[in-house]
Amino acid sequence: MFKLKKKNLIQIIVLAIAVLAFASFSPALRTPVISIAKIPFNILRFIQREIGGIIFYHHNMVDSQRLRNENNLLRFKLNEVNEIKAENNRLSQLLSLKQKSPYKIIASKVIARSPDNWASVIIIDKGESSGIKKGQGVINYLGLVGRVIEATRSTAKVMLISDPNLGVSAINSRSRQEGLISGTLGGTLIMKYLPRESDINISDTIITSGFTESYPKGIIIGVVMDVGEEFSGLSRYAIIKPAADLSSVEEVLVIIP
Amino acid sequence: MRKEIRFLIAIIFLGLLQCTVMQNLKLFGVMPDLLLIGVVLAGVYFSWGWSLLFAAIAGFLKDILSVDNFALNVLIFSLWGYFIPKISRKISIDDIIALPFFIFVVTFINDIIFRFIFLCQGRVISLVIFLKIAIIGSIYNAFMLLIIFRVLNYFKCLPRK
Repeated sequence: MFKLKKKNLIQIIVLAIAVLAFASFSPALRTPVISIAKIPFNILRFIQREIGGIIFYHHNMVDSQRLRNENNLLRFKLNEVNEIKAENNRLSQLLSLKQKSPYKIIASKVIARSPDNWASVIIIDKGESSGIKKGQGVINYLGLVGRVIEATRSTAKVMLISDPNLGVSAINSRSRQEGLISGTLGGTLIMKYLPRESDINISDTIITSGFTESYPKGIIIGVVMDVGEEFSGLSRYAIIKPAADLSSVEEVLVIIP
Repeated sequence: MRKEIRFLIAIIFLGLLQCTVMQNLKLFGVMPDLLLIGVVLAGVYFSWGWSLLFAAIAGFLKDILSVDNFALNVLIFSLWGYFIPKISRKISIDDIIALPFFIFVVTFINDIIFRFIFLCQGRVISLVIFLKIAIIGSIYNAFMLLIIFRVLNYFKCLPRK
């Protein structure tokens, strides 16, 4: 289809060198470009939020009413929990138990998402200047969200648990069965390496095991939707519905150990 | 303003839209690749040199915003930026019927290249997920091209052929 003349060949070689040179510089340019892009991202996010607010006015109104009721109920429950916590502290002191050091948590907003379909990544508006570093766990009020994979001064990239590249050690909260959870790029997660005789049922809650350093033990990952057997017949797998709505997560909490 | 500068601004804007607004316009969990659409339009409507430059910039934008390896998009988009002007000289793809079909094919091939690279890296993406992303993504890109083409024409970002 194309005749490769000498002139063309030289052009291709020169271009290949230019493209490779540009490519080799691109990782170094990442940080400043993302820092600059933070401004238009914030503007676009603001416009998007305001337009969404107008379009979904009725839906938001109904939602707001429901949340207000839920908030009142939770406040009532929180009082109860605070009482139990105070009692627990008193009893722990009596038993001279060492208190676990609480994790510091940083709230952050999602400003952008990965531009391609092959990865589940979000960009948040806090970075190294807020104490965020690579490898830290990210949650929201519903459950586990992901892990920080890159941090610049004012932004950070978080790989979501729905990405196949992220593995999280997990346990079944009922039977304490361990397994490894990873993403599928779809709306579900997969829990692999479960023994054939493993005790895992539909509707079981899956939580973090604490074996992965980034995440404290007991964070909700999701609920078992389906259990199946691997093609080899040697082990089983479970399909998990993530507790956090990963497709529309807007605010996250970064766990600083 | 020169068409080239306008188109460059359009590419940057498409990159920003891709990371924000497009996330809300996913179809079966798949979103269109606005930057790839920009690269194809650059290849069809601009000269060979400009096409390559726009493709490299689009790839660079995609690279800094995604997590993939070292400048993978710069390299692959540059290849498209090199080959599309040459293909468009041989086959007429600049009419409004041929263009969506062409972007469908380009997106599908692009996805196959990425799957192959991921396989080489040990990143296994199930065939069902791959086909879903590749097929829906290609159709979505073909549809979005018609909109982007009209918008870019409205703002006089594309030269007349």
